[in-house]
Amino acid sequence: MTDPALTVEAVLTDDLRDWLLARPRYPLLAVLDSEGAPNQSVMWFDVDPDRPDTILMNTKIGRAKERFVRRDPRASLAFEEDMTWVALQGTIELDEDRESSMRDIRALAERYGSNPDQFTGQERITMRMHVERVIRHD
Amino acid sequence: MSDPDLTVQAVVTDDLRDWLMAELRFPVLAINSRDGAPNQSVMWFDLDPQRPDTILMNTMVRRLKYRQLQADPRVSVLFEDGLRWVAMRGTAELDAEFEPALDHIQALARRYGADPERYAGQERVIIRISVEKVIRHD
Repeated sequence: MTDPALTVEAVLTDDLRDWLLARPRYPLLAVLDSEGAPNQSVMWFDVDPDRPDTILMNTKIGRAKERFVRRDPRASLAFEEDMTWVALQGTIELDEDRESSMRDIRALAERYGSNPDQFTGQERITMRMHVERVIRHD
Repeated sequence: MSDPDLTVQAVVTDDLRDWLMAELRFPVLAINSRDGAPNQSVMWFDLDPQRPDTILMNTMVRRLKYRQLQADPRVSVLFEDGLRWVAMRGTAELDAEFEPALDHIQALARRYGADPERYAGQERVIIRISVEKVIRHD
């Protein structure tokens, strides 16, 4: 990298976790569509309390996003606050456990001040992103 | 798509142009790295006054981004306002005429309240993104 404002790290440091969780953030997930072109959407997220360097997200079974991730698990997740931003690069693992995935989306809804009952009856899937690289721009 | 909050259209409509310019926005550009994995970064942007459905950005010739876009011009650009967001899919055309590209980054710097002089002498390139698909989430 040639930009002095960019730093690259391999792990989620404690101060980065604190920054991520300082307020409800709406990160941008980029995955690859069925032709390999970038596809972006805004997500709810949480830091996985049980696994280091892991971000939890959740989607609905049958969404394009689920198909895209199954086809190619490589992803980027960007958090921005004007020109201060952090991009995480890594791979997504899908958690096929429907019950724990439903618990996860309900917990995410509560974290974001939304109604967990809106997801009742849906088939949900948890996406667990393993962070391999952190790019920070301050 | 099965999400009722999503609408898809082919062009940048007048009301969308107004929304894009209503305040200083910091879109996130997603491109593919050389190995095909998605990469994201926060950018300055402007609308092309001459061409409809065209978003302008600017980077340095020596940046990785320039080489990555040369290798794969498919991009996604996302503008976020909390959970209201707009993603645009398109193709980037690179214009590496240094003088117009320098004028352009200096105009962008003025628009974003930065110092245009810090770009003097840089070899810059205009990234001209032809928008092919607009996905709105309200």
